[in-house]
Amino acid sequence: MRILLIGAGAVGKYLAGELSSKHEVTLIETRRDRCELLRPLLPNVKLINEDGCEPWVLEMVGISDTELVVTVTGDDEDNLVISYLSKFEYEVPTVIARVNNPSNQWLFNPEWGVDTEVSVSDMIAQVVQEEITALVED
Amino acid sequence: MHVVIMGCGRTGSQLARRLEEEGHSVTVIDKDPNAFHMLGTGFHGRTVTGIGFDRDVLVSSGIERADAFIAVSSGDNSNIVSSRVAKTVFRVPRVITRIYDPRRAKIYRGMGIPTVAPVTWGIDKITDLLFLERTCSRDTFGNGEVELMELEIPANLDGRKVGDFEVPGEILVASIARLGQAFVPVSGTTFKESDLVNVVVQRSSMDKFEKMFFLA
Repeated sequence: MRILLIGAGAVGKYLAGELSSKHEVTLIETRRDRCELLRPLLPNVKLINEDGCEPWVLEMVGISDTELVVTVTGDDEDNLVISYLSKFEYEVPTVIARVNNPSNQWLFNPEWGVDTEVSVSDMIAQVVQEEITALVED
Repeated sequence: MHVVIMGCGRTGSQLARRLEEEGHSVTVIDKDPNAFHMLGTGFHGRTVTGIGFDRDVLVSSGIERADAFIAVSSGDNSNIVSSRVAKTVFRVPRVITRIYDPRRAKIYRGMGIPTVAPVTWGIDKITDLLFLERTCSRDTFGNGEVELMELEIPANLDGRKVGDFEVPGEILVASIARLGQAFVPVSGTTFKESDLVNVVVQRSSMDKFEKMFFLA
């Protein structure tokens, strides 16, 4: 599968490494020093040092042929804009977006082109809630 | 009018001041409370510290009763997200966005939000000032895609037909003022030296326009 990842923070880097053994992975990261650091660590990943929010960059990496876009930058507005472009401008079949700030979660829906949103805070909250419930029951 | 402005930089703060002086109710949002200093001491509107696309921040800015929402923060993406929220969620009647990246502006206009692209606009103005000597822009339409140019007919164009200078979809002679009286010409109208002519020109045809009128 052709997968496009945007954002090479801890999550993006991890995903790129994991997915690149079986899939064709392109990773876009805007920070130059981050790219230079990761380049030797991700030999099977096409690493692009550009701004993934710019339409010309997405076109350059062939987004129209991409089957899955995963946007995991640290800025919710960037993830939303990338999702919107991916879904409505470039018709990518599946778009997954990361929610950084839980109070923005309400925006991450199909209207913004997001098929699946992932909110880490939400997940942690759920786990904590389950633990609390389990402890109370004891 | 109640106006909510997102972004209290140079543009946002000056816009807020001007609108407030004109009697409108203004609330300015910025994620950095220090930015509100740019409003100066005479500003009587409200300020809200927070992210411009945060629902609670928008509600406390009075977005539900806002007549206009203007996004002029330094982040193109923040402007896009908050504008769309203002328009589709809060149904604000007038929503305007400033987008620095000209390549993005086109796509976001497709969202149905009027977009101001100052970079392209600025470049157009500067190149006009650099290269156009005998003509000037009297008015500008859209984001500068169409200009209303003004020029005085030189001696060498006296007697030439208006129709010879018109290019459908690109160059249109809108008005001729002769001896103080203006009229709308037809293609058979002939130019007279010293006519003050206003021509509607497509930005992409500015070169052609210059060549036709000044190198004939």
